Amino acid sequence: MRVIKRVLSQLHRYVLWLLISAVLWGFVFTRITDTSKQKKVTIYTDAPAVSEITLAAKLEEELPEGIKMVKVRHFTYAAFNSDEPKEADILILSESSVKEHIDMLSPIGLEPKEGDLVIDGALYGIRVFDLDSGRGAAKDFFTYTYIVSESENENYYLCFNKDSLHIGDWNGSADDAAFVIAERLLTLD
Amino acid sequence: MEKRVIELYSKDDIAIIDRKRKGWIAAAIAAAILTLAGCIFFCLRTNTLNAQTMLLYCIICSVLGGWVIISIVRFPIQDLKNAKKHTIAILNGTREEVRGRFTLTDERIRIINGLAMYKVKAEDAGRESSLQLFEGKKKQFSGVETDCVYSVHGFVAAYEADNESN
Repeated sequence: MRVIKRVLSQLHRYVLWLLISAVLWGFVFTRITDTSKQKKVTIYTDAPAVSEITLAAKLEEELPEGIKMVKVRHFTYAAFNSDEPKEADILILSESSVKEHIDMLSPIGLEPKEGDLVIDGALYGIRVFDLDSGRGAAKDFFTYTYIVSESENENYYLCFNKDSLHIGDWNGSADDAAFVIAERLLTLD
Repeated sequence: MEKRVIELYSKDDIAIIDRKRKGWIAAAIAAAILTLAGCIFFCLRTNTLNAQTMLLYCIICSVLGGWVIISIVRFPIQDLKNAKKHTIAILNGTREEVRGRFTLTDERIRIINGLAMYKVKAEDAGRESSLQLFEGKKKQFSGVETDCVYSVHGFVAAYEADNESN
């Protein structure tokens, strides 16, 4: 009883240390699980669901030279108009989102294929999910359709941020790591 | 019968306290090193797939290690620090002779600086008063029959005993 009383007299210190530990290690882990924009490729999606961690780990199995990390961000992390998508290199967006945010996307310097999204004669989105057939890329990682509100379902497209540091000649950036990652993403089941 | 004074406190006590305190400080440092090593181990094992789990392990390791260190610092180390202060105060204080019949009670009280004391009742010609006996000196004072105690600041510091007894 005496021991319990003495321990309880220090309760505020134990609680304070618990809080300090959580904040401190949270900060440390944020630092060690992140790196500079130059060394990572960030994928942002507004698809209904995505397995961020497993997708990132899968893509990290073969990284382009100079890249140490792949980050996958989902719409739930922040509102679309926050910095989250602006920081991304690759964006997996619904058709309406692409049209709404066309000003932050880079035209893709490839020949458009059937189903790709061409706006004002320029290719902006490579189709990754076709709503009619239900076929899509990396379906083990992405959920492209809503089960409840089916009317909101759309085609999804892979786009590139015009300010990305990894889209090579398209904006004069140092490397084309975003293309390599996007290519791998499109070939995933 | 010839009487002699049995001292409850001596300078050796301070040396013993210092030694114990150093031992506990070493234990706290060891706990801190182990905690840090554990956290570094979890950090080094972190990858994209297990980051959340490793963060959780790291926080658990850090919290438990921290709690052990807080417990060591706040209890044994602090108690020994207070005991040393108390011992120095007793050794340097002015003694008062108290006469009467003394009874060591089981009433344990914690005084302001956190030291545990036992109450010693003193009865002299129908007048009752009380003294305090430091917890660490209880063994030495238990079963002692004396009619003269020396106190410093109300704490029992020594007592008078018959020469043949301790």
